[in-house]
Amino acid sequence: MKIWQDLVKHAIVGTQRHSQLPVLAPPDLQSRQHHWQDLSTEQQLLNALALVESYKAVGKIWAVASPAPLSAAVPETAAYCSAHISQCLHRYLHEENHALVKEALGLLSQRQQLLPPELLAAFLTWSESQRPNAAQLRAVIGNRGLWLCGLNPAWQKLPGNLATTVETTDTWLEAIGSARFALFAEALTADRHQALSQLAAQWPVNNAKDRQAFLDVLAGQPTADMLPFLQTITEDRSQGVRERTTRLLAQLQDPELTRLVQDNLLAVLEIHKPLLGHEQLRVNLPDALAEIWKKRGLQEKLEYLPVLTGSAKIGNKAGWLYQWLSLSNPLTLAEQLGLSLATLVDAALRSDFSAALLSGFDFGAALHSCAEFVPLRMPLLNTREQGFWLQHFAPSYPPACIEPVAIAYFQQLDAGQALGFIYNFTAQQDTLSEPFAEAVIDVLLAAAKATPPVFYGYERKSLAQLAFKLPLANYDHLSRRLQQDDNPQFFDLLTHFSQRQALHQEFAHE
Amino acid sequence: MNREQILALAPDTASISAAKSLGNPKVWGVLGYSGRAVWGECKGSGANPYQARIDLSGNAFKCSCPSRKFPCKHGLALFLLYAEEPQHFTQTDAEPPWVAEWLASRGQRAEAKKAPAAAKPVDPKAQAKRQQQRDGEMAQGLAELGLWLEDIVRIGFAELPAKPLRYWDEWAARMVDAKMPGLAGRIRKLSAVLLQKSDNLHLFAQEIARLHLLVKAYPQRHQLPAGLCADINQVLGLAMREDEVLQAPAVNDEWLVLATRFSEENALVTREVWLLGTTSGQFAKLLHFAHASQRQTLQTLWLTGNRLLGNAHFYPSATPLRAVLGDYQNSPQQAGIGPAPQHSAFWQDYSQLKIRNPWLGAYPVLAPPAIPIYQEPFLYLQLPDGTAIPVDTRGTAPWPLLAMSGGQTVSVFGEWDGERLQALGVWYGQTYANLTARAVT
Repeated sequence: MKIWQDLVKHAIVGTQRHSQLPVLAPPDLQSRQHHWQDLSTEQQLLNALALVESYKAVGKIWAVASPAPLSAAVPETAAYCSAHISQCLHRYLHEENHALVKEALGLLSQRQQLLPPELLAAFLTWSESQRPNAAQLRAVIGNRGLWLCGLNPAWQKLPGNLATTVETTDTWLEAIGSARFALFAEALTADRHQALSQLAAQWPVNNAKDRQAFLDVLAGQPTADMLPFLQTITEDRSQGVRERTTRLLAQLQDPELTRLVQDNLLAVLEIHKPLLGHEQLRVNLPDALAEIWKKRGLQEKLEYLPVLTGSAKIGNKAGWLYQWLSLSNPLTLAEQLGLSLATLVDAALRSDFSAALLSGFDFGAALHSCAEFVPLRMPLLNTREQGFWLQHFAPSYPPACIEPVAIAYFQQLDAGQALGFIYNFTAQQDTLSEPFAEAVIDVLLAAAKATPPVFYGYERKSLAQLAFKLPLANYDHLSRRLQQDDNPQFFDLLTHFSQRQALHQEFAHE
Repeated sequence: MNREQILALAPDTASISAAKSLGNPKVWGVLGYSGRAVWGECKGSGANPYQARIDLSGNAFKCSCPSRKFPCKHGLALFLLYAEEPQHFTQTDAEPPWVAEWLASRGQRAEAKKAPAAAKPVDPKAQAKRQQQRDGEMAQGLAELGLWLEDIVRIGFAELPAKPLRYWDEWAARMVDAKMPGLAGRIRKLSAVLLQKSDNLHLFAQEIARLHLLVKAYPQRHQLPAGLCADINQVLGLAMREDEVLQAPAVNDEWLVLATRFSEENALVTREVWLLGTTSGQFAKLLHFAHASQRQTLQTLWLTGNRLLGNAHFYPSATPLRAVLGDYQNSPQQAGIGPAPQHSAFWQDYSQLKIRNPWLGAYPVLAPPAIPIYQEPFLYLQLPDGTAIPVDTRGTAPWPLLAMSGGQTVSVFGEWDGERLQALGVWYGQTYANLTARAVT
């Protein structure tokens, strides 16, 4: 109402500066105004404000002009999950049971079911603080979820495995900070060819730190189709980038680099077979590191050798040897030297360069997942070193290869030490095999009976996390074993394990 | 009660996690229930087990643990266990003494609340004298307020943002001294309005106009309808006691819990419960207060979809809304909301209510079926005629409502204050969802 605007303007200025009040409209109000003419200007203004405020309030047309229309969400083609599953999901989210939420989203995605509308906002909000899990979420929000993401800027760049569209594969190009690399990893999963082309085009404008970070992402998903790109960046101006590139090329068995490494190692390593006694490994190192290796990112003066329990001072030439070996598969090297791998390792152990040789084998074997090396290496290490070795190198080997070794290792420890190892080891594994799970439960039950006690309470979360690694196929047996002692320390573990089982059963019954 | 409803009672997510760890029946030494209550003894770190008990008639909790959270993890765990694994509980009619005593004391307190205030001896002379003194102080306070309002319009609103906060606090304190705490609150809100950024002087002018109307209406209050007179008292902050309200005629209906909301300001916890009479179509709002350190006094729990058969006693008003529940019991009808009602106050009715009560604030209404439209940062409900209702997104994020609509027509229940709708619940498809539910993050 214009008269209301006029009165407010009057009140803003104040009657001491502007004493002439506007005449009220419509006439009904004006007639009331005549009754106040003997009052002070302030009283008249207050009366007018009160009258017009009431008048406009009771007669107001409340609705505002129409905002621009909003297109509706595209109807879903996939089905929503059942009401019961929906309740479970809401509960897991409410209870901040992130691991179970993640597992449930994975199951939904497998079954091509969608989150119901009432859960979308809560789950999308959750994804803001759970970016690694956002990819799974993207698969189950459906068209309505995508429509909602389009309305909220915070959700517009949600990464996910629907990143097959141009819109989503391009998002990493615009992102900043660590999100850029996470989004690149998503784009790489969705469309390797396009992501690698985009990376190649973007490569020169990135600083060395970012280039290294991109190579770390590539190292997480190494495939032969990266070779053409990697071969173009072998002469990068950054030593760190060249070093990573060389390692990745070695892992992917780039023919040129592999031949170069092999020729070089055969030139510096010589097997001497005495008439009596064991083979000896003689090392003939050059006086200078060839330029070609410097271009490949190898360090001329590597001061420290990464050993299992920390680092050790090393000479320059031994450093070169270590770096060459860390690019090579020790099994292939043994074959080229005409030895068995066991003989090569044995000879290395007795060499003057044993530290550099064995460390180089460790890294080279891990780079090429050389399973044959593991049973040969373990006996050479003391208990403490075995623990470090498994923690460091286990993720590079397939579970079937590494789990028996890990079981044998922690079975020789006392319950407290074994628990510590299990927490760290299992954190790197997606799921445990049945024999490994049985061995873990053996340790847990032993720990529960240990004197002095080895459970202090603070490891409850770590214990609970084990529930997401135990195999469900053997649920009844494993849970019965865990329940046999009624130990309160296992309640969280059992609760999570049973929730997982219930969740899988829910999906199975649908 | 199902698991979700019970977990909705938790004060925070930490309590939920803690309760889960007590979900194993073996943690509990004793588990029992009767027709009235559930109880259990939980092994704790102390020598004696914690005694947790739940009054099933009002979902009220009590536990002997030292936790200040309410309900505590023991109460939640006990309720969860009872709901999901009742086979572990022993049924008996004879509750243990520590349960029976608690139930008895709750019953006594409830009876004491219902007992008429008139039972207490009153000295009519002293009462009249106190009333006269109070009336005098209030009349003087209102006269001062009138002069202050004149001063404000004389110097102009433009000068006011430069005033220190002390200026407003002093005037608020004067109103408290004059036994009108309601006006003190309104004056503090005036200073808050001035600190806001957008269109604040129009809002400020509205508040000044309503205060002036009150100053003018108060001396003539005895000539006004009783309901409006009560509304004036309510604006002034003259609270009625619950036992007085319970003397008012009751409205008997099946009351459906549509929404519940907790808020906290200056250590005062407020719980608002919106009820809908399924037969009368009348809205009722329950307000409960507790100091933050005494949340446990808000014992009775209200869950969306619950249906209560009984009497609502409304505070006197030209636009009755705030109410107290008298005698009630759980409805035999299954919990659930059902379709959107067709006979309740609609959004357009607000102007009629405003005629009856010029000081009317937010009032529960049903918005007509409309499409939620978001234009950052505003949310609207677009009506079929193309116009739109603005929705308040300051306290509630727009995303749940938008997600449930998906760009389609929905029916929204909320509080309309004449400017914006505070959405509290939504009917979409065959479902109703409470929009004030605790956010999940």
